Formats: sequence, structure tokens, C-alpha cells
Amino acid sequence: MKRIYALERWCIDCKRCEVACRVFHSKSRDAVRAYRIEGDGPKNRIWVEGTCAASLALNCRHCADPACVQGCISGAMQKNPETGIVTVDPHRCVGCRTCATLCPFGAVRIEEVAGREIAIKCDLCGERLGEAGEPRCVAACPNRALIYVESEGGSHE
Amino acid sequence: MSDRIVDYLVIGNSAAGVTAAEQIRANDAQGSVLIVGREPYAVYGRPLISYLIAGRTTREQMGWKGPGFYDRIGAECLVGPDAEVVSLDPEAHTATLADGSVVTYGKCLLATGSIPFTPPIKGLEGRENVHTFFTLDDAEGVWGDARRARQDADAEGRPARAVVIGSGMIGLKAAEAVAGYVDEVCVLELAERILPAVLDAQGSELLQRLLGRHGIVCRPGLSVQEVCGDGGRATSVVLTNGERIACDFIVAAVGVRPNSTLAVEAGAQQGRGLVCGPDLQTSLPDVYAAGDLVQVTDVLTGDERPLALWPNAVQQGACAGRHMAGALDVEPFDGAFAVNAVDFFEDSLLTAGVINPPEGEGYETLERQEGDSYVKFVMKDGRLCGYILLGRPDNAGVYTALIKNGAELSTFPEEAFLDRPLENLDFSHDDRWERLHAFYPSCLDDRGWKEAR
Repeated sequence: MKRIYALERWCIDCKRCEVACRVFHSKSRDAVRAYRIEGDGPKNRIWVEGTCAASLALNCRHCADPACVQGCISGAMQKNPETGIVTVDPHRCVGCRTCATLCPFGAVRIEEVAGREIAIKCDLCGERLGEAGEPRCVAACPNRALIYVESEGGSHE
Repeated sequence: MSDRIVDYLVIGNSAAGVTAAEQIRANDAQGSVLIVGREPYAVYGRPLISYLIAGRTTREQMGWKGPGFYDRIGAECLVGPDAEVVSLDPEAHTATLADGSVVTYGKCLLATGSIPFTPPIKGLEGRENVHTFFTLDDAEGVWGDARRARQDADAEGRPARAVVIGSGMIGLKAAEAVAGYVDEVCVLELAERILPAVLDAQGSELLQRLLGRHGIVCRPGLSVQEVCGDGGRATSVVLTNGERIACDFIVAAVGVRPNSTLAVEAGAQQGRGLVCGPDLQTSLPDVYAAGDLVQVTDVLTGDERPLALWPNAVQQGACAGRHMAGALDVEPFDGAFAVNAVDFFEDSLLTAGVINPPEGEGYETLERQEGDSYVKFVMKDGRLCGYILLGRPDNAGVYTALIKNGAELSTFPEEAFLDRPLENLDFSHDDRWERLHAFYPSCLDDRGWKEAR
């Protein structure tokens, strides 16, 4: 499967990846509306850690044997057996935080969407759960500090 | 139902059993798989029952696997009281179901989980408004009584009241769920503090205060002496201190035990749970076990005990299934440690590993309470072996990974524990690269370039 990798030597903490992610995951897919009008509904699923001196964009690694999926009590978190993409079904998720307690990277966060706390994570910008799209964070990175490339293994168990 | 012969019999249709069946199929395309379960439902997220009552999920969304799951993995599934296995003959490789039919199996998995035990309290048994809180049917019973309590109380112009006996995870989640219906929930706990298994004294005290804001009154150090009522319904309880509390209904959640009678009666070796080898085979040939009923080695303390947690059941189910199907390169099950995630209203409580270290064994702790949050880390030999994160959930999984990997703490900044959550940038450059770049294409360097440096 293709995975997103962060190359921290090129990361300049500009957070454009966060903006592009949030905009794609908004209703309007427009930056101004996503940030100023849609309230706290749209969430980014990539987070830049650190400061200008050292920073790193972090999102889901779509693990071979994901601990978040193994721990999910609702069945909302799944790894697609064909594509290897790990996604969370927002309707089935109850926000119990088991996934966030098991993800070794902090790449799943629990945030409030439409009055419900649910797990938020990278879905590779697919239009449907488990489908890969064109990750907007990668497209938005001005420095090629995020690359989207064919990885070597680990798509499925 | 007629007698049948299957390659794999999975007894138990929940996390461990279903995951095992999935892995059996993934590693044996041909073998016939039969799953039997006592509850008359497709597999559902058992821990969701409190969320159902609280209106945070629906019956439809509780299905743990999507529709058509059993067909998709080519497994037959028989559920309901008739499909309960009542006896096992490991010599003959047969299991007898409640309807008298006999299943002959090649290999069998016991994934029958835990069962709640009812405390021996005078007047508790035989009441229609006394419930355990473990299954979907239990939840429906509690839910019905919670709604009825609301109606009755409104009609009579008095507060609606529930009593919960036991303040473990199950008791407190039940209390949270019914708090939306009744005015007062009284939680009784025999121990000196609530949630004794996953909290320390300070954490328990804070959580008790947080629950109090939602009408849940926890009374540690007390239990029920006697349940009183008229006929089938309990109407009040007398506490061990002599006090009497009126109630509309009662949830009894004093604990669970491994549901291993079937195996034990068939001669399987039992400690605090079923004793299994690294392939999760019990002492009976071709009888495997996975989930709550298995005695697990706690990798942090060496203790042997069942680990009745959903992720553990899934992990063991997967492992047992692979072993049963003779998968290649299958890893042994060599123990686990407890990781608990639970939320009460808007407060999250995440815990892992050793919470209350024994004195004099070289453990060190770091604690800090600030407002409504309480954080504790437990360390030994320079390694993290447990935490409490009450009201500070960020990056909990990164700490879990430190415990799992036995990482040396000296390389991490001190402030990344009590002062702020640990981040990926707190790992050394090389460790960070290794953690975050699994399956990285070998043709690229760390600049993302193809040409050699």
C-alpha cells in the first residue's frame, strides 16, 4: 500500500498539512468556511509536533497489525483487508479512547464532532472508508517533507 | 438440531471467539468452522452496553462486525440457549449442546469469557429489578427499569433512585448509564475506595468527586446487608452500617469470574483461569482457550491471573486461531499487561500496568493532581511500568508503548511526564525514524531522495 511518510529534516513547522487536512475533511472543502464558519466540526488528522527548531508531522501509520483495531470495542476501527487502510466509522465510534490508549504514536485523537466525542485519524483522504484518495497534506507541503509512496509490506496481515 | 462434524468448533461468540474464527479462516481456507454462542445475537461490542443505555450508540451500531460477517469468513454460527455447549469430551473430541445434539470437532476453542457472580446477599436473589450488567439482555433489563423508575418517580413526585453494588469498571459504567434517568445513584463498594483495581487512593478520591457532580454518590467501605422489597421487586437496601436506602432498582456488579466450568469439568487444568501453553492450548489435547477465562502471565509483575479486557481477548483469539489453523511463523502468546480506557461523562480515565506498586520492591512513582486531573507514573529500574491518566488523555498510547517496549526513561526529557504529554519528538532521532517509518521504501534515503548521498 502507499503510505505517507514525514521527513522531518524538511519540515518547517508551517502546518499547511494541518490546514489542507482540515479543509478536505470539512463540508465545504473551503479553507475560510472550514475554519471560520463550520465551527469546530472539521478536524485535521495530521498534527505537527514541535517548533521551528525541530518539527515533525504526525499521522496514522496504517500499521500492519494495528493495536487500535485490535482494541476497538465498537468495531468502528477497521483495517481494510484489501487496501490495508485503517479507518474509523464515525457513526459506530463511541469515543471510549481505547484506540488512543493503544496507538504507540499518538496518531489517533478523540475530538468532539457534532456534540459527540469520536476518534479522529488519517483516512488517506478517501471518499469512502477504506479507499485511498490523494492525501491533501502531501499535496500542500511546500517542502516535500511529506511524501506519499509505495511502502514495502505491511498492507495486510 | 442434527449431529455434525466440523474441523474447528469455536465455543463463544464474542471478541476472542470471533477473532479466532477469522484467523482460522485466514490460515485455513478449507476447514469447516462452527461458532456457537449462548446469547441469541450476532457478535456485538459488549462494553457498549452502557453506551446503549446512555443513548450514545444504538442496537444497530453495536454490531462488532459488519453485516454478513459469518458468511464472509465462511463460518457457520449457531446462537441462542439451544446452542450453549453443556459438556465437552476431549477424548472423543465431542461437545454436547443444550438441545442434546453432538458436535464432533477436530480442534476446539473455549472462548466463553467471564460470568458475573452474584454476591450472597440476603433478599437479593429472585428479584425482577435486580440485574447484573454484562450482556445485552442485562442492559435491556437495566434500561427498562431505569425508564420505569423515572416514570414512577415523576408520578409519585419523589426522586428516582438506583443502587449499584460494586464500583469496578462495570459497576461505575452502569452507574453512569443510569444517571441520565434517575436522580440519585448510590454506588456501594466493600473496599476502602472506588475502582480499587485500576486507581490509587488519590485517583479514587478525585474520581469519586467528579462522579458526585452527576448525581452518583459513591460510598466506599460499605455494602448491602439485606435487600428488602415487596414480592418480586426490591424497594430498599439495608447497608452494612445499618442505614436503609430506598431504591427503584439494583445493579449487582461485584465482579466476574472465568467462565471455565465446561473445561474444568472436562479435566482441564485451572489456576486463577485456564492454564494454557504458549500456543493457548489448554491441558486438554486439541482444546484451546482465549479471552477472559485464560490465566495470563502479567509481563510486568509475573503474576498469573485472567486479564478480562476486550483488547486482550482479541489478541488471544487471533493467536489461538492462528495456532489452531497451523499458521506458519505464528508467534507464541507470552503474556500481556492491563490497559484500560474508560470515560465517565466528560472525564476520561486511562490506566495501564502497575498502578499500586508494593512497597520495598524498588518502584518509584511520580504524581501530580491539578484541578480535575490526576497523573501518576510508576517506574522500576529506570523503566515505565504503569500510569494513571485521569483527565489528561493526550498521547496515552505513547506511554503504553514505553511500557510495552521496556524503554529506558533516562533518554526522555523529564517534563514529558508530569508537565506535558510525551511526543514523538521526545524520542532520539534514530528511534523516532524507526518508529515512524515502518515499511519505508528501501530505494529512498531519509531526505526522500533516490540518488545516493
